[in-house]
Amino acid sequence: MSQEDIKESPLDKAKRLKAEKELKDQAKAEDETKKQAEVQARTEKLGALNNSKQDLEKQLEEINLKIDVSRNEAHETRDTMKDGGLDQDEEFKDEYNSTVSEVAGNLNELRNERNRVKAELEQINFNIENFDVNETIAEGKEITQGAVETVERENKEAIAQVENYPGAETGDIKIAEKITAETSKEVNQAVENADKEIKEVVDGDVVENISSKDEKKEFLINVEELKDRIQASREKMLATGAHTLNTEEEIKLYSSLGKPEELKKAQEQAANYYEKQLSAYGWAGDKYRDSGDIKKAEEMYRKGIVENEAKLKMDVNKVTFVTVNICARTAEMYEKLGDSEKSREMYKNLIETAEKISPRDSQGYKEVAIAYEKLGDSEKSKEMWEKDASMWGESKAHQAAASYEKAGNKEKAKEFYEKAIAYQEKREEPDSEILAEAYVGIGQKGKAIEILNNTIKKLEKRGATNGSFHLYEVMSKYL
Amino acid sequence: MVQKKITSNKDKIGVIKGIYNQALIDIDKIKKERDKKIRTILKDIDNKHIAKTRQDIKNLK
Repeated sequence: MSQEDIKESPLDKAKRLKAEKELKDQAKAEDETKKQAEVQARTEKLGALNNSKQDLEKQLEEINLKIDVSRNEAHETRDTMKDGGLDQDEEFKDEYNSTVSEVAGNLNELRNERNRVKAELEQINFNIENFDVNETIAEGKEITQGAVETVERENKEAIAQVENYPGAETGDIKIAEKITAETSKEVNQAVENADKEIKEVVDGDVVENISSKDEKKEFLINVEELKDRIQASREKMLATGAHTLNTEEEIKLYSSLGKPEELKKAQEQAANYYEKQLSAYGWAGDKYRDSGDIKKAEEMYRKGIVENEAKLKMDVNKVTFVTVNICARTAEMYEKLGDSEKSREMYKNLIETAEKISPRDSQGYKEVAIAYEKLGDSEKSKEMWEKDASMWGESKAHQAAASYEKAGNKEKAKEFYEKAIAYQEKREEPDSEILAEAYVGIGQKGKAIEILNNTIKKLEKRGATNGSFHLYEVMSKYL
Repeated sequence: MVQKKITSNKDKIGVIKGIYNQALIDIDKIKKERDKKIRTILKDIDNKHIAKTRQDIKNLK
């Protein structure tokens, strides 16, 4: 008999309900006590402020009285000496002056003291008047400070995680340190921005829009201004963190800024990494070719072909999507070596291979579509792009749309870009890059740039240099 | 656009709470981005390790 089958007796039920109620009452009472303690603390704070106010008002009254007395005394002193002609007599003139200075000094001291008390009183009055505002700020500061401390603790844990990860090298740890340092910087910036905004609110400099919903400010594209900002973002990235970019972005940065030496160095480093670390000879060949080392590029392509063909022979009975991919990369390498005959042969091989397997994801159709395109069969290629498009789910509707575009099916492409927009816009955090791509897909380039611009501004406000740089590069494609 | 200055303490409190909430949301996003980048590093370490092992096996052959 399963547990669900055991029926609870009325007595057990009564006991359970009683226990539940007791727990609930206890929690309620604790909550009430906490609230009361908070109210008590606030009342005490406010009471202390009011006591200080009363003390200061009393002090001020006393000082005013002293000032009156002192002023009268000063006048009397001066008049007494004047009556006696001391101010005119050479023998007593100095005494007269020093006595007048002394009483004037005493009076000034009292006036200064009065100003100090007045300023203090003004501050207390302001604090009383803004008591609730200040309490809200103090509470917010405490919560954000807690969040900052959590980030710092997690940063340390993240570095330790990388340090202790099997196979981690010094370079990996350094990257983790850079990432966490950037995280700290961004978090501090977010807190700093909040403090700045709050100061503006307290000072009464902030305005609220009464009818912002109805009168939405139109976004006007200033292409030249955006281009300047893109250039500034690239220069900033070059100056502060080119090394934090991924290989391809770093190469693109040097290329767009016209830095031939840095570009060549980055290309060679990438080629070396692809060759030695990943044994990805096709990519390595591309980078050697881009850096101008054609001989080395061809060597890489040949090496890649030899290795891939060996794999194809080995896996002859085990045909998978990996096999299709190997065929595609090999055909590309033959093409890059100028051997179009061998390339075509490999593309045909790819199509035959793909037919042996039933495609379970879009990758197979995509490679077959490209193969047909290379062999000049555009009809078959379009058919494959349509199949590829049908494989993507709702979250990847933009990819389906792109495939429909390649298939020449404009209507379907538009339909799927619209689906992608609907999907992204209902998300809590839409992907700006996908949204922009989809809006461009339906011919609304301005909207795409507006979306990217808004996200960039948010990222810049947070000090997220890498994030904003990435989106500026996306934007540059659409300008 | 019609605008007015925020002068009442009640309105100020509302705006201040909104600013702090936004700061917490921003901090959370920054944390998520950091975690994503750290995961990428760990994945890269794994990939390098696999590539090296493959190379070692090839050398043994």
